Amino acid sequence: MNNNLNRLIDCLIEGDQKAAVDETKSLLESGTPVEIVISHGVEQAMSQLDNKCTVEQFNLLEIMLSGRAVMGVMNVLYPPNQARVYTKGKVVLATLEGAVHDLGKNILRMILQTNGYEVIDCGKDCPVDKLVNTVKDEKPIAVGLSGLITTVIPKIVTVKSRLMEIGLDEVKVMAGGAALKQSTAERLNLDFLAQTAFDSLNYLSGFSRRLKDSN
Amino acid sequence: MTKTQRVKSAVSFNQAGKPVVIPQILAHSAVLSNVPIKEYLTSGKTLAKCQLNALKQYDHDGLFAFFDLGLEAEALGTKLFYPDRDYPNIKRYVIQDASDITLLTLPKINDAGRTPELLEAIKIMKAEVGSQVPIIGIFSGPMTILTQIMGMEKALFLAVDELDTFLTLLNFTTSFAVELARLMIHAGVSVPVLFDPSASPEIIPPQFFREFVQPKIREILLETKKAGCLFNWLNITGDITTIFPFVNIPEVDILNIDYSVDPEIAAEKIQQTCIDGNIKPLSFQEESEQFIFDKAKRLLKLFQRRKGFILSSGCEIPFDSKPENVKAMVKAASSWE
Repeated sequence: MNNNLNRLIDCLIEGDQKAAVDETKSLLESGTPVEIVISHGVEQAMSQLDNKCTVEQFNLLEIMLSGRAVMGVMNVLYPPNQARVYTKGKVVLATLEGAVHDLGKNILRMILQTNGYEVIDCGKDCPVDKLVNTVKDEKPIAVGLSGLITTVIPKIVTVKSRLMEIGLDEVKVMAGGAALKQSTAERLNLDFLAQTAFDSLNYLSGFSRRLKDSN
Repeated sequence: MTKTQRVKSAVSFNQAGKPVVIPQILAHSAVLSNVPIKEYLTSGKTLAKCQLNALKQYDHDGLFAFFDLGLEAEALGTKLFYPDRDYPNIKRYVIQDASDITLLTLPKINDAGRTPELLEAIKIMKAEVGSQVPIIGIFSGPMTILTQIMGMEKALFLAVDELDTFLTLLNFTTSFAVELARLMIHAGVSVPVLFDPSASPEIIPPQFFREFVQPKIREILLETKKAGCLFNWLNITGDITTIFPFVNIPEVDILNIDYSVDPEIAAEKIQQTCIDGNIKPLSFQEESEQFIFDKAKRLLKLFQRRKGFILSSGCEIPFDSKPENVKAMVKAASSWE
């Protein structure tokens, strides 16, 4: 792998946005295709961050800095007038009413977009009705929810049933966050309960692969 | 022996009699008293009534004075929305951009937002229980106030991009925390709890905590001691194992450990400070009485020789905790031989 790509990976892991953007520009100027910057640079960095999240106590600040650097790079690779084609499927994200912060959701959005998923973000303080209507309109492969405090649990529990009531059984519902991690997927009526944002990506990757194979 | 004396004995590692048990009963006391959450969070009289009722029903070892994490931010100008049955949500942060920072001034705290209601709750509880029962007053730490006045994302990026501005703000929120804690102590709080979930190692790196946040925490806790509190209680939340060296300090008398902390490691690493914890809060809602009872017994056994332990939940128990589960926890302590 060329040295610039290695430097890009280091900058992304260190969360140095300016240096990461400079490395990306230099890679593009030297003729490296965008796809290679993504697959051998950005995705490699994300994979290393995933490992770091699992084996070390990785904190939000470090993830946010890496996330900001990744988004800076993505903006260079796909400027606003050159929209990226998302190939891995659509995911609807929301932080439901009462969940306090939407930081977890924003990190997941960045991870999913970087990895080729189209994200429809319902924002924070999202009522369950609005989420269900969005899923109905957008027909995603999955819904991602975040919850930092336990009071959001009664709302989380209703999402899967509400989707099933309108025939959207196949849409996977996944969630994560400090409050939810105390419980289980079964008790929260979820298809998947993530411990880290990368868990959700890995779950979706496996699920998307199975979906592709069965088609 | 009064409940206050029992807590004193636990903190001083001279525990005699039954173990001290303080589940973190906050707005659950409103549900227990059939009072709307919104009323509990906005009325000092109601909070005091519900806390006293919870004490009567559970016979645990402390009363809590706390509305929610929005109290300080609201007093500083952040706009909140109060759902009927939930904690308030932030509708608009008082700091929207950098220019707002220069306009921030310390308000007259005893008149700001819901502070007068909180102080009234403390005075009512104090009048009722005197010095028999510790009144535990929770106030937000400097990182949490900071994230509640400008948003977590902005606050954390500010710390990296404009450290001087961030530190100016941290000084400001520290001053606010000191003033609020003093008022609470003067109103009757004997055990102030510095609650700073935004300073958790799950949010900021341990080195960042050591360099910037821990000195502020020490500063606040020195002031609460000067104001005459019995004990300082520190609750950071999350897995705090990596910051043990920075919270195992003389200013902290009781250190909270969340459910994600291994209590055996805490018992081994924190030798001179009373520890409280650490039953998983959600299990008070989801699990059985037997589960809570067994979990409590295991903790009591683990700390039996060490002493310096308060049986507690790792954090606030949910609104809809099963009363029989709270009773099972108290029973585990009262039946301890």
